[in-house]
Amino acid sequence: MPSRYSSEGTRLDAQRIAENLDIRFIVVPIERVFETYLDTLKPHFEKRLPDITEENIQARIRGNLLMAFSNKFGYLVLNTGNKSETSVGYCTLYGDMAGGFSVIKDVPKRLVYRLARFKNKKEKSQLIPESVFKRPPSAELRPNQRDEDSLPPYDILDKILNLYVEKDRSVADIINKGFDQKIVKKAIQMVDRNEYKRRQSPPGIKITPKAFGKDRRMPITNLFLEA
Amino acid sequence: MHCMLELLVSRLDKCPFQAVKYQNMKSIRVALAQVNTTVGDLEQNTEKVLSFIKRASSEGADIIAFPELALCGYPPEDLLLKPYFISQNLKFLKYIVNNTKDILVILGFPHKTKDALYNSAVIIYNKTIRYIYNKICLPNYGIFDEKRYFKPGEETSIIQLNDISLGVNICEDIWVPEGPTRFQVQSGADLIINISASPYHMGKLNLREKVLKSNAKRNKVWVCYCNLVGGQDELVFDGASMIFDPLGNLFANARQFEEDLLLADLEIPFKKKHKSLSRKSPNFLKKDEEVYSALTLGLRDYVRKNGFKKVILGLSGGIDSVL
Repeated sequence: MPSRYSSEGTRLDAQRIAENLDIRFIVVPIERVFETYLDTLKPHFEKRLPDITEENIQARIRGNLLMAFSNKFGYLVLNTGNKSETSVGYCTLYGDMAGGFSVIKDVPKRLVYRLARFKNKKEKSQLIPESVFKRPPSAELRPNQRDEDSLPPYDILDKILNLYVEKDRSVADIINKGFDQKIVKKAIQMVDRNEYKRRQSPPGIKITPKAFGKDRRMPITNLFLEA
Repeated sequence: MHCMLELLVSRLDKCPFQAVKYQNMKSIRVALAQVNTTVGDLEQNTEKVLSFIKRASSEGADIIAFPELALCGYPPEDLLLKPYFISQNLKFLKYIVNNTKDILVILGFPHKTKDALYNSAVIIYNKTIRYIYNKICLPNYGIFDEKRYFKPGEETSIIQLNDISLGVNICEDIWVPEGPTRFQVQSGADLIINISASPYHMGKLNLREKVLKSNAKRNKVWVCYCNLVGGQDELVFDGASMIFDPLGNLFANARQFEEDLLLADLEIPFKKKHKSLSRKSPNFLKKDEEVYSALTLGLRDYVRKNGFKKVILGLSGGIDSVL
């Protein structure tokens, strides 16, 4: 479901992986729908500049289209969000958060890479193209966007999340372990503020000692803020 | 029906399994049925139970154990609050009882008495319920909510089969150091059978191995651990049922993430050079393959058990959707 911001690289990789896996691959561009959205909203947005609103609209168009296929053909929509982004809420409600089952919801980003490597090794082939591993993670919802514009690098983020989410360590504790104070506070604020999103996310497979859901039941309305 | 069950329990001491302490070495063939049951599908679960009983019988097993709440699937959650669900369970249990002979069956089911609901193991032999063990240690942390539904059991008995004394307990019971296992061993059990529904997470298998090993070693008793396998919503049960000998060594193990029937001949008293009938392959999966297998089984069972034929996803070309 490419948009004006989808790079040639990711489009090609999507197609290649579909060929390698021998799965049905259809391209449904979202450009026209996106333009219609922008036109429809323009008179009401009072000349405000484009921001995350327009980014999320793209994600929601995609979620909507997948649900249309689900309704029409009875397919189960798989959500592909990982634990790192679910933790900090780096995902769009009713957009990429749509779906019936969230397969890697409890898999932190670094483990996602490891599992992909494992799969290639097991199949003894480049089932997953090398470029997928090499490309910096991006939501591709605006020009030259990188996950790291909004988030700490995943190797730091995943360690902080492990301590805060899975081990219930305090902010002070985590900072004492040598992490940058600003990064820790930002990450933890994001975790705490996004309980409302997680509560609305599809169920997904537990693989860590503490998964979101039954393992970690936090209030949404919660003013016990550590950061 | 409830009355009948209770009557049989109280008749336990008069049943044919009278305690006669063995003089000579005995051998018992144990089958651990690591099945993938579906929550609420009582009919299919019953068929599966009966087909595994048949298989184990044809393999000459003396005992077959099924996982915790195998009859109704685990975790049944608030289905347990429905009286009709409980009565249907009893109906299918009765059918299994009537079709069981010449093999001792240990099966997990929700057991309703006049004033409480228990998480129980029913012991069936020759078309009769011989004993019902009610789980004593109810987990109520993490994903577990058992105190919401069940009352803890208050007593345990030893079951005699061909001069061998058997202690049956359920999942959490074996994680408590001074719990039912200890008591059963002190009461003369040669063999502990623990029926479980222990969900997967990274590192869990290692924890289980430690707990079972220490139970076997400390109590100098055979420990047979029958775990559930399969995906249920957000949970994946990884199987890997295990048998530990009275020295605390892994004696036999079932596959991970697949249905399996683990058969083993256990000799009592235990002799060191004793060989396992079943394959002994403690080379469990390495971490990445283990996680990958958990995700695959979790997804496959969610799709299959909910009756989907196909799935769809947005393939962006990024690592998450590619995986």
